[in-house]
Formats: sequence, C-alpha cells, structure tokens
Amino acid sequence: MNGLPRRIIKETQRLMAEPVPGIHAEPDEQNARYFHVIVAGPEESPFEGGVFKLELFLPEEYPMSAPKVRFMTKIYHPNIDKLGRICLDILKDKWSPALQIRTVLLSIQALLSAPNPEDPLANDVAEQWKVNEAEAIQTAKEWTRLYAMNN
Amino acid sequence: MAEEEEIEALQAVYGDDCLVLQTYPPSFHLHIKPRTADDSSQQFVEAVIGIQAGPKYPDEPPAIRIVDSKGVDEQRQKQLISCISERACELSSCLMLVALCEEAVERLSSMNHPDGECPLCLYPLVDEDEGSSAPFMKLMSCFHCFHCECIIRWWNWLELLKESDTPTASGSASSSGNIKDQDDSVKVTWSLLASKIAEEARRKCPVCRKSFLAKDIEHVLDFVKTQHAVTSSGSEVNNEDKLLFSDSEKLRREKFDAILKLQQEKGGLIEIKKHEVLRPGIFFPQPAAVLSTASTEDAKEQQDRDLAANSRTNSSGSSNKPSSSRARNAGTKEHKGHDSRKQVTHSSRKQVTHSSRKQVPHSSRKQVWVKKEDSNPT
Repeated sequence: MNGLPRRIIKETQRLMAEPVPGIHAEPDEQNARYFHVIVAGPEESPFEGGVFKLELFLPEEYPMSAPKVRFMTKIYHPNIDKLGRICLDILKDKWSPALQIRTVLLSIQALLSAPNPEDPLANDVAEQWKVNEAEAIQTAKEWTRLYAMNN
Repeated sequence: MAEEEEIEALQAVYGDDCLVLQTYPPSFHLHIKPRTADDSSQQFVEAVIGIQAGPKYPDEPPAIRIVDSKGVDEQRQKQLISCISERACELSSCLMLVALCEEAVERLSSMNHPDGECPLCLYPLVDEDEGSSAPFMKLMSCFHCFHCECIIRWWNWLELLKESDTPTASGSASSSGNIKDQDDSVKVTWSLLASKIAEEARRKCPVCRKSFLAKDIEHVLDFVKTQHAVTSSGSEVNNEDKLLFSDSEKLRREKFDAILKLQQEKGGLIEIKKHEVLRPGIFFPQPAAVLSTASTEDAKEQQDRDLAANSRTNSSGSSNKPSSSRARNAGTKEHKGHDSRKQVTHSSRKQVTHSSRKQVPHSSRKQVWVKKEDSNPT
C-alpha cells in the first residue's frame, strides 16, 4: 500500500491514545484507510446496551471528501436504512475538512440518541416512528436486544 | 476630579476602542489588538478587556477580566490577565488606567501568534521548539488559522469540484456523495445541487462555517507557490506498522472479531458480505452464488445489496479502479457461468438490457438472463 497522508496517521494515533467514551475505532491490518468501529448504544436511548459494529473508509480524497460510514449491525432507526447506510448531513453536503473521524463517530452516536424521523432514510421505520413512537421505540429496543447484545 | 479626567484621557487615546460604562468609579471595556502597524492580516489575536475600579481606587487596584477574545487560548488569557493585574499592583495608589491599557496592548502583541494546530492537517501552526514552521494565515472574519498550503489546497479542491460538476460529468460521484440512483434525471438534479453546495462551501470557514471572501486567502496564494517545495504538508509517511502490530492492538482486534462473530451467529449483521468480500472502495469478486435457486424475494433483496455494493465501487478512489476492474476481468474468464449475473448486478439496469442484447452470443448467458426474468413474474 502507498504511504498514508500524515493527517490520517495523526488521527489514528490519537484515536488509539485518547479513545472517545463508547466508541472504538481501529484501522484494518491490511488497509489503514479502513476502520473497524464499535459504537455503544447511548444511555437512555432505545439502543442502550447494544454494541453496534460499523465500517468506516477514508477515500483517497480524505479529508477533502467525507469518510464513508455504514452500520454493519442491524439497527432499527429512521435515519439508517436496512443496508446500514446513514443519513447524516456532515457525511454529505455539510462535510468540512476540519471534521475528523472522531467527530463523525460522535455525530453518529448523537444520532442514535436523537433519531430524526423528519429526515428519514428508512421510510417505513420513519413512518412508524411518526405514527406510533412508543411502538417504534419498542421495536428498536427489541432489535437491539436481538442483534446488538453480546449475552 | 482627577479620576474623571483619567477616563477622558483614555477616550482621547483609544477613541472608539474604549467603551466607558461608568465614569466613577471608573469602569470600561477596551478593545485591544496587537501592534502590527495596522496590518490586520498579521493580527492573529484580539481581545476586549474589562477594567472595573472599586470605590477605593486607586489605592485598591481595579478588577481586570477578559470580556471577549479571538485566537487567544485559555492559558494565554490567564497570562494576559495576570500580567495586567501585576502591573496594577505595582502602580497601586497612582492613577494607572492608561498605563494598564498600554500594558495590555504590549502583552497581547507578544502573544500575536495562533495557538494549537492547523485544523486541516492537525500539525502545530507554530512549532515553538523548532522555531521555524510552515507559513500560516488567518481568516479575517473569524480568526481561524490554517497553514497557507493547507487552506489553498482545500480551496483548489473546491474549485476543481465546481469545474467537474457539469450536469453530464459523473466526476462528482468520486468527490462527495454516493450516487445510488441510476435514473439520469436524478443524477442531473443531484449534481446541480452539488455545484450549488460547492459554491456556498467555498466561502465558509472549515471550522466555524462563517462566510469569508476570496480575497481573504488571495494574499497567501503567491506565497504558497514560491514555498511549495519547502513546506511539508504534502509528505506521506509509512510508519503505521509499529502502531498497528502492538500487542494491545492484537488483543483489541481479537475482541472485535469475537463480537462480530457472535453478532453474525445471531443474524445481527447486515449480510452484504454473503456473496462478495467488500471493502468500501475496493471490490473483489468471489465465486458468485447460484442464481437459479433464488426466489423472487431473494432476488429483490440481492438487488438491493448489489446496489450498495455498486455505489461503493462507483465511489472508490481512482487508484483502486484499475485493480478492481482487472479482478473482475479475471472473474470473467474463470467463472463464465456466473459472470453474466455479475454483469447484471454491477451495472445499471438500462445498460444491462442494452448490453445483453448486443453482446451475448453465448447461449449460457442468455439462459441465465431469461431465468432471471422468469423468476420475476411482475
């Protein structure tokens, strides 16, 4: 593999030296642009207790263009579709090169705490979230228990 | 009264920069800037300090605080305040306000450099140990500082993005979003949107999104050109190894794998990897699954998955493309029976219909295609 830009090395070192609470990210052995990520479901969210696996890839143009991030663990969330793709503005048009892997993952963690059915990616989930929030939250908890818990 | 005259003197010296809140006991805000012969592009810090005297002034020194500041980190703020306060103690029982203000400007001038790191490359703006470091600049409106080369590279990137964002060019796919839609009209709308975004973004500070003007960075353009060979930010390093292969990392990796395995066993993973080994941006075809057994539901599901796979292949960096296409060609030779299936899933539907009609002399290929139609009775 070619050499990595210094910025990616710097970010990787910091992610490991000062990890963000509830978030683990580490580069793949073969590809230092590919990160294995684990995000813990935030407290007092339907995802609490869950351990969610994500993959994050830094494209050639990073940090000029945004990292590509996807959930690998199934999750019932109005802004995450069944393929794990995430609807988050900073991953699209609001990306700025001053953002980092760390800030992106923090935003995703925050998205779990605050689902936004008004800007949906998974339409059926968003609909359910709007029509019957209590039931949607129940389903999200159920999915968390089924798919994202380790015991 | 002498104290009131003191306030008048302040106003005479500092004009609009001095905001008098109260004449006696004197209380005022002072807007201070470093002494840079009025070259504001060279001012990396500024502050508003509040000086408030008590009824026992000047026997008791006035209280001094920072009301507002730009570019001054906490440590330097404290330092600034403590220097002015020290001076106030020294001058106790004299009328000291003008002297304090001079001290403040003096101190701030000595602190006239940005703190911390460049938000774009994460390396220090001013390396105090080495003394010499890459040239930096600030945005006039928000005082956020960057290495000249870093901000210019970002600016050029956005310019490039704008140029490539003509409605027909799909160059935007590699740059920002994921174009998943195969519909051409959607593509056009998207790319118009992207160019609009680029238009706006190029005027916004990467850190605070405050708008800035092109002329804000023009003064560093020439500088960057001449310095290009000397500056360091373009360099690449390859010393990841130590970091990645330490024992603690091995342990962590094992833990990761255990979690992944457990979730997989419980069916908790989104199974894109069933048929392909996927790295975002890199595509390795593996012997494909046999299609004929797929039910309608499965086929639809598969299509969705392939869409995701496709969007990634599309958005891969240019360096990855040659290898992936080579791999795909290799697959063509080795797995002829499954190959047409690959083609179906990895190009847009429109293209597939087109190409399969045109260039499918093999009966085996046709059969697979027909089979797919059969299993899709809509």
